Amino acid sequence: MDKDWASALPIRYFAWALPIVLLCRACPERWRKPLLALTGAAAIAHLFSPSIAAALTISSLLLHVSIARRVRVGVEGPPWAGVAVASVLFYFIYGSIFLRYGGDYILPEDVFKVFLLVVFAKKSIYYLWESSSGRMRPPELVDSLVYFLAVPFLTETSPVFAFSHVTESYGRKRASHALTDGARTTAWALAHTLLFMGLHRLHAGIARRILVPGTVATAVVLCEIYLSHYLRTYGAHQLGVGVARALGYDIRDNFVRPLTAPSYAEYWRRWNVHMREMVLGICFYPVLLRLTRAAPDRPRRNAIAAACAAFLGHAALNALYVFALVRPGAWRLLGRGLFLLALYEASQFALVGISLLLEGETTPAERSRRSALSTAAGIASTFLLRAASLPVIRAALRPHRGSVWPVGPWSMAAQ
Amino acid sequence: MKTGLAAQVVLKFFESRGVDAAKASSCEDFFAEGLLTSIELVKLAVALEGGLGVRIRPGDVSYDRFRNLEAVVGFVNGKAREQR
Repeated sequence: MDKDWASALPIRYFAWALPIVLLCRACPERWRKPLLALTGAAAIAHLFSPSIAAALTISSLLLHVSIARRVRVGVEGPPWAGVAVASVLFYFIYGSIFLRYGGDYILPEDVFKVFLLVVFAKKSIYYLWESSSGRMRPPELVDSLVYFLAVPFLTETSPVFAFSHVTESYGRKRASHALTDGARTTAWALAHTLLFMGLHRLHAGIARRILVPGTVATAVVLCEIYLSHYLRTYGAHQLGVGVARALGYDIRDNFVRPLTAPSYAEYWRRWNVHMREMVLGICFYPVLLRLTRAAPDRPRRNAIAAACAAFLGHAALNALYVFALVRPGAWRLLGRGLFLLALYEASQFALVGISLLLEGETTPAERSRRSALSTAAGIASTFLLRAASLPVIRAALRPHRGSVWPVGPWSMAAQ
Repeated sequence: MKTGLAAQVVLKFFESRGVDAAKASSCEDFFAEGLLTSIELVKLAVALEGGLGVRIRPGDVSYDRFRNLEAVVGFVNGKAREQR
């Protein structure tokens, strides 16, 4: 079930997105964004219950209304009206109004909805933060609706793009160039998904052959799980990027060859780039900027303190999934999920911290002069450490002990 | 503030990091080329504050605004206009 769902979802998502791309591309430019927002709302209405569809649409409208005038006039300070709207939405999500639980865990068929709602929650946090940080230009209603509802920005565990990046990247490339670029990105994402499917078959074979677990056998399985995780995540995230590009949004890639990262700090610079940009913007840059201004001669201490703030922010965003997957009031299970999450984030912070200390004050010129042997050792150790730490976060976010993942609405609707 | 001054501060920053000015000027993406990391980005922001007298807020620091020389110069000029 797990494998079928995980591999079928991007392909069925693509089957949904393709007609939307063709439809939007065929219509005149001035109707393209409204049509994109409309098709997004229609997809949500078709795929989800009326309560979820209404909540997402109304929340998108209210979030826009709550910040549009503030940004236009240039009001300083937190956008409290928007925070209130987001809080009500979060209450509905985490108060289990929308979601159904079988015992203490979410029903498998609702897991897709959890991911979508959490991505929506993260987008609303990012949207509100951008509106109060001076990054955002006065938003048009249609841009806000596209950002919250349109299909390119609605993929499963989709990357959380910045609203400013989405709107400012629109129309940067000529239509024909954008379409080619989008098609290339989409094809590459689907190729990753197909590789993931192949690797899963291989995984079953490896798991059957390894009868006596040992250090090498465990390492092989962990590396295979990591590789598989990368292929699936790349396929799912980049598919959204490809569809967005085909529609004229020149969105950045979400991965920059993370498997070849020569250090652990470098790995985190290359993995889920958009999510990283969100965490850095909200948590890392404010701390580092303040500390660098105050004590420019202590760069290592400043970097470690800022990285600590970043991983706290990362943990808070990941905790949204843990809270949503476990039934409200199931404190023991919630505690287990949060403990594993804290363990994971602490281990990642420790690895990045050590990596930053080793990097020290290395300049770009010095980095480019590294020997091939040193680079290869860095890549191998980073790969193995990442493979070893991945099961912890997977356990923290696992909705059921047997890892039963759902047949999501995208796949159900396509059946 | 003259437009050229912002570019000079950026290039001086890169030269202090062992990067050739011509390479930094023609680079399409500082991050993809490995010329900037998030930590060095903040150092560049502080260098711009010191060299040009502009006040950079934490929200101003972003990938898009520091992607290449043209983007940085455009951003700094916008900040200078805003603070004038």
